Amino acid sequence: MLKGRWEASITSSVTVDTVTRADGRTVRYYRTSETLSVKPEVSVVTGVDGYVGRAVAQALLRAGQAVVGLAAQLTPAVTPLMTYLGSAGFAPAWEAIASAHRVRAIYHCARLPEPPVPDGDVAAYYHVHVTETLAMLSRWTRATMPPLLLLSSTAVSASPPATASAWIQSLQAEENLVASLCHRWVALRVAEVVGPDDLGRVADGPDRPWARLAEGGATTTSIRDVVPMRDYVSLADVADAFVRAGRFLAAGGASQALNVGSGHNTPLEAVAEAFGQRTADVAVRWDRAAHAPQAARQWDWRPHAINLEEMAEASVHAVRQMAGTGGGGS
Amino acid sequence: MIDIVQDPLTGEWVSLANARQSRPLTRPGTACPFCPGPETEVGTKPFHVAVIDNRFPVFDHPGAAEVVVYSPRHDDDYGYLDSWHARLIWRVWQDRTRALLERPDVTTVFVFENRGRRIGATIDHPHGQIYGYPYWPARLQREHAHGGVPGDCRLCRPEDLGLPVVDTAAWHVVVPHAMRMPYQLMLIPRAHAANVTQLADPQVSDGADLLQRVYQTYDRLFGFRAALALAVFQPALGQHLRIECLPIDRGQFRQKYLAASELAMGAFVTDIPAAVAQDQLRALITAMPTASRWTRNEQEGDPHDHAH
Repeated sequence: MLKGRWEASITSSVTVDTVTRADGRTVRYYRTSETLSVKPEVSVVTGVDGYVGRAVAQALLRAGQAVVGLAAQLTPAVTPLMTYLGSAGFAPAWEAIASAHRVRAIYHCARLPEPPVPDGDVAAYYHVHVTETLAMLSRWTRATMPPLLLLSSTAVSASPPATASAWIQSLQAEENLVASLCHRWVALRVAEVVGPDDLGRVADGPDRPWARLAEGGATTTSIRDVVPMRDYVSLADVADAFVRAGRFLAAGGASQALNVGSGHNTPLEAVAEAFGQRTADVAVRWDRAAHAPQAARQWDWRPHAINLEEMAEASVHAVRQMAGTGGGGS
Repeated sequence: MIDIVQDPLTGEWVSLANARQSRPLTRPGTACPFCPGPETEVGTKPFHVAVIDNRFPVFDHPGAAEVVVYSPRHDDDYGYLDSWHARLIWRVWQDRTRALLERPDVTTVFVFENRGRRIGATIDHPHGQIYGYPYWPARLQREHAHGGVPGDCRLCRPEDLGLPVVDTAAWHVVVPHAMRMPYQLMLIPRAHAANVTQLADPQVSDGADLLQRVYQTYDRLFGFRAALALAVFQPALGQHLRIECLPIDRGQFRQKYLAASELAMGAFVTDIPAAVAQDQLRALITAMPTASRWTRNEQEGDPHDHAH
């Protein structure tokens, strides 16, 4: 059942019948007919079968919004949403969505398959991700220009670039591209998301290997991680950030990109401690400051879960349960 | 019998169509040829707008003369039609202009309406006309001769042409600096379009609505259904389309007559300063809500008509 606003539009067509009178003169009869089309206004969540996408869709539903999903696979994870099958760049899926709905906003949470890039060139890798993803979206959005677009950084990058300058360069490209696709947008550059979703899945990021190691009982190991300081934010807080950023845009807020994190950077060693491990190969010293105060001021968003040990414990517990039930996680 | 004769003194063309002397006048009690019916010009086939080859043509191969019947309803008026209906009339103008311009015997297409008996409408049923001239009419010849430079469109600089009255999304409305008739208005599309066929959908919708507001504005200004000439200029030579509304009154019960200077010399004399017309028309048209319309007052009409 879709709730919320509906859009009614009228399209008119003109027909003309030409008749020759007995005296040889012509009469042309013009008639117009109008077709009333009523479409429900919806937000579209891409990657709705995924870890972040499902949580965002559920948060939007709880906030009273009408939501439809786009998913590469129709798994039980997409329920109970009306979901279209296809990747974010699959034009027929978007056409089907547009023919049945008025798209109010796109919450782009899908992550694309990793494109081929030169080995070790992380900046190129990230750039390809950004441009490919947005180019795919643009095939549809250029024609329809959805008013609002909310973009998750998880949708454009599976892993961050090696250097700060490469990261900044990529973000600029991302913002330029996004700005060309829609009326207004928010890019949420999401920090490390931690915590299980309602299906017991944990993130594909660092959360998952840590939790798996912990579940396996390892006490000393080495995980190669290029980011020594990590900002962990809970899945529930991330979903809440999307909802609040959407409200901000709908109320006329300006386009922007914010780093969504708890604002509490955690050294890798402490992460290891939280998950009950010891480790770390540190390659680059760089961290990304969360815009927590800005998000609080503009979106009224504040992270509620900031205790990493508690979040880690929930993840480890979820992974243990999944292992026990034979589930595979996200 | 139609003769097209050139004036040896001026080079202007004149059409002599003596059959028009016998064309009917509709007055109370007489049958209307544009109302639907088995014996009428439009017959019984349902329509919203009908286009008929003129039974009493001014031109007929070479050239064309057509009548655009705006509505099957005898008491409709362009200014007070539903929006979709007004827009359909513009679609018809586009369709017929496109078709006539393809004919080798048509030089330019003139879409117009004579609104009201006092300006010469012989049939009360709401209708306009379309001429496909087989030559360049004198007015357009003079415009071409007076600085009509291909590629330099004077209509793209409306501030040179008149005083602004109102701007809409797609149109400017100005009172011409050189008004030929009191309260004359010029509607100019913001985007260059050589003729009505080049107007995009939003320009058509906006223009059709705007022209209705202009009609209603005149009715309010004079206090009765204004008699006016609607003229759609499609001038070619790189200039762009414009629509002129030429009312024949200079105030309530004060008609502007075309007399010796205008008829004999083509030299117009106008009693109302352009700035005064601008103030009065702007006050009325900007006060008019665009979404909801003034309701047509059925009691109002053409006071001169009732006098007959």
